[in-house]
Amino acid sequence: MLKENKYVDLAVGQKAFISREITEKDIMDFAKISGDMNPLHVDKTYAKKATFKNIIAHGILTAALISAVLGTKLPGPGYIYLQQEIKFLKPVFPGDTISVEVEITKKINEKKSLELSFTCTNQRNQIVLGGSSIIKAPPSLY
Amino acid sequence: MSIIKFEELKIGQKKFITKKISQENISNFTTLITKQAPHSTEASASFVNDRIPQSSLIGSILSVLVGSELPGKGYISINYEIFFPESNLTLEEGDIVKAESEIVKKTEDGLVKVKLTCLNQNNELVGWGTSLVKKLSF
Repeated sequence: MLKENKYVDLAVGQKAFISREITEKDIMDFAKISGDMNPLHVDKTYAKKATFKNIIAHGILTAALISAVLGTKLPGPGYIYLQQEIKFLKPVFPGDTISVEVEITKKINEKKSLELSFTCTNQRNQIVLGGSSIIKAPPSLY
Repeated sequence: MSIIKFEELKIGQKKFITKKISQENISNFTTLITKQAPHSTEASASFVNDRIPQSSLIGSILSVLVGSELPGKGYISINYEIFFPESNLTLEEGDIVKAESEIVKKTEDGLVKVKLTCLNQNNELVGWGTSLVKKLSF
């Protein structure tokens, strides 16, 4: 079972992390489950000619790592996603190891909502993705 | 998969896709999310319908729309801003999602802003927002 967190127990500055390698298989699997077969992600010959000279991970696949932290750790299961802003800053290539950091930046008590910021950093210490989310607690987790 | 030249993209141009949501679609995204986080592979049954994994499913539908239809192949997303309803509305098996992209802004340096909406079969908004995309160079 995933651990649930009560809204009252969450504090500004609280952080959660995960780190994971994105493999070529992850990209191909994601292409299948999402139906996003854009050649930029699945066709090496095409991708070699384009801006990044290699296939790149789907932006939403990298963003799924953030959802993994939000949905399973901080704030955890049961919370209701209201808003998400994602900036794709650098491409993610197969074999990159992505470290995700999520931090609570604000609590809006009257709405039982949280603002969180997040970054995804690769093994070269480049921020590949950044953004923020607004998430509210369900009544069962006030 | 559509290929539209930058010069041919027009403000107000729209395109939509529809997707019938299967239980497999929903569980694939739940699995995708939970398998990323070590020690949390045993997702609770309720998590399947949680809005957080579902945000990735909606994000994927929008990403297919933007990446394959309008503006389509040859462009790359720079950002997404997606809003979800205040109500506890979630996607259910059998729902038919209509996702629409509309070009709202175009700049000389190859940037295109699209407005995105995702409606279910009852005409309820399940997600909406904007995305900024950039023309790829070859």
